[in-house]
Amino acid sequence: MTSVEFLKSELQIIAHKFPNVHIKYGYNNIIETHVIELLPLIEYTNNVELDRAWVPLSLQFMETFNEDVTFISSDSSLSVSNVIFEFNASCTDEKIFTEIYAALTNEPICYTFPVSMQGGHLIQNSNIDYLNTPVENLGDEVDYTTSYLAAAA
Amino acid sequence: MCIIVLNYLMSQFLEKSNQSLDSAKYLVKQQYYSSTVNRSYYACFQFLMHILFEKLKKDQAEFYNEVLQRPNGTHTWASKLIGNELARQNIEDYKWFQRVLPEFREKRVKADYYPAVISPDEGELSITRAESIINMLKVNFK
Repeated sequence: MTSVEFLKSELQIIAHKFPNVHIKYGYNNIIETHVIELLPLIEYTNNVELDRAWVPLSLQFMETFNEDVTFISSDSSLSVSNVIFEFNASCTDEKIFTEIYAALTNEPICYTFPVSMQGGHLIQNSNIDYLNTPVENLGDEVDYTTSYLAAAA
Repeated sequence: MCIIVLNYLMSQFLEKSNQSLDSAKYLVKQQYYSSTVNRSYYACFQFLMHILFEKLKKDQAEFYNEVLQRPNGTHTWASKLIGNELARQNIEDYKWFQRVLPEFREKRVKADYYPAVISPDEGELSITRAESIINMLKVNFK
């Protein structure tokens, strides 16, 4: 088994265990080092279980193959520009963001707007002409009590 | 007298590391930024060798014999041995070390062998990075 085959096999196991982690593999010819990028950064930084998976792998790899390997994330100056293989590629930042906030987009958001503001009043069904009308001349058109219902897009 | 001579010889890598770092600080003031990166990186590498032989008591002949049997040379083998020890002691520092040293190595290779222009910030950063690595090693290998 070559060093790359070994990494592919071991990283596949890690990818299966951590489906939210996008794993990219490439080789840096400048420093002759295998580079593995783990995304997103927060998983690389804070996921202790993930550390327990890749740290022993990095040590075992160097012991077995006498080749350099480094595990990085998006904050590194070493990037994987030429991806040789990757796992959980669909696990992008946008997908994670959407999953977190998707529930919010299904529910209307109720919000009571303030009825007064500095220098004037909020006017229901207003058009631009009202902005030039002194507030004391508006009479019943000024609504001090209305609650507005806004739905998330 | 013999002990003094032996101590002097054994601390050569520490002295080399200190001189490299001092050189880097001098070079950045002269606006020689590529050379600054080079000396900063070697300050780290020489400090690694100091830790290896002084703190971990690795036999020098054994070390160089092991290097000859491997394709990647002295730097890779030294950082691998230090990395192994670091992983046993402090996993967070190992995580940082195994990432930051290759980053630094790439910067050094580009500074020495590529036409890339090294900026003043990169020169300054290389000194800071060298000091960070050396300090981390001092903390873990007292």
